Amino acid sequence: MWDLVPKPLQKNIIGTKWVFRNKLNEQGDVTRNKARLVAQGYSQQEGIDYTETFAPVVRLEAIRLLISYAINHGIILYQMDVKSAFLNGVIEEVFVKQPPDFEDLKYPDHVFKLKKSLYGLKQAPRAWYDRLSNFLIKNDFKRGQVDTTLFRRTLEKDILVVQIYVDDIIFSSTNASLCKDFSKLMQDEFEMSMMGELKFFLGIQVNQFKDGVYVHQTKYTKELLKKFKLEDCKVMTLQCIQPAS
Amino acid sequence: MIGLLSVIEPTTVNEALSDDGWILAMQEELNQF
Repeated sequence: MWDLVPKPLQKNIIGTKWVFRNKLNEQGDVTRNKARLVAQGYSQQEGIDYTETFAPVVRLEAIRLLISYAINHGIILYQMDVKSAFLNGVIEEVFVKQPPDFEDLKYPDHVFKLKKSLYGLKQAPRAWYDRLSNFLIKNDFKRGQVDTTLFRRTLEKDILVVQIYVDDIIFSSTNASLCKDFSKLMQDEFEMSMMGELKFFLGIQVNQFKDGVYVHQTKYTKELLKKFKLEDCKVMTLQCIQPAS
Repeated sequence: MIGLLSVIEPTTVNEALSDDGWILAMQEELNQF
């Protein structure tokens, strides 16, 4: 991931910083203390420390289309996510300071030459997108020409559709075994969460039933009400769809 | 394991270094590199 090297001259050495976050469960109890080492990317200069930073992200309409496609084909959508996704990006010629209070005793003034990306680097999102898309293309996936975050692979009469959103991946296939194969393929290359039915994506809750899919934002709405202390306000029902006349 | 969990989120490394749970979390992160 990185090599400890003597500090190079005429190179911007990017600082590193610890960020501490607690992971909470649904009830709001602390389940995990999570420390993340991030690069202080704001000191990076365009053209010197980095060139490309753009990484495409999916549009919400595309997600709706995919859900609709799945319903019409009577197939189930699955999801999984890549753990510490940005750490998988490959980068070159980037030097960072040793993590504060974890300096090497023998070489406290050495710096780390990165081989893989760190959170906070300007090029981190791009490096991750490149790594993932190259991997998929190498494995016979075709990248969407308009939506470059949509990948598909056809095998005889079956199709496997993969939609990526940074580290979240949703996928579906007309042949259930292709989904399993894909999950295996990803797990062999990256550290992944388990494959599961699509339930929560981009703050949207998805419930898949035999006769259709229910898409809602109950959780988000409840959190919003809580934030503005309106949890016990009066409930009103109102029509949001004009009845057909 | 539960006993090690800290409820507060430190803002500085020094704060984090005074807590076993957070030291463990930092070591876990570094082990990935």
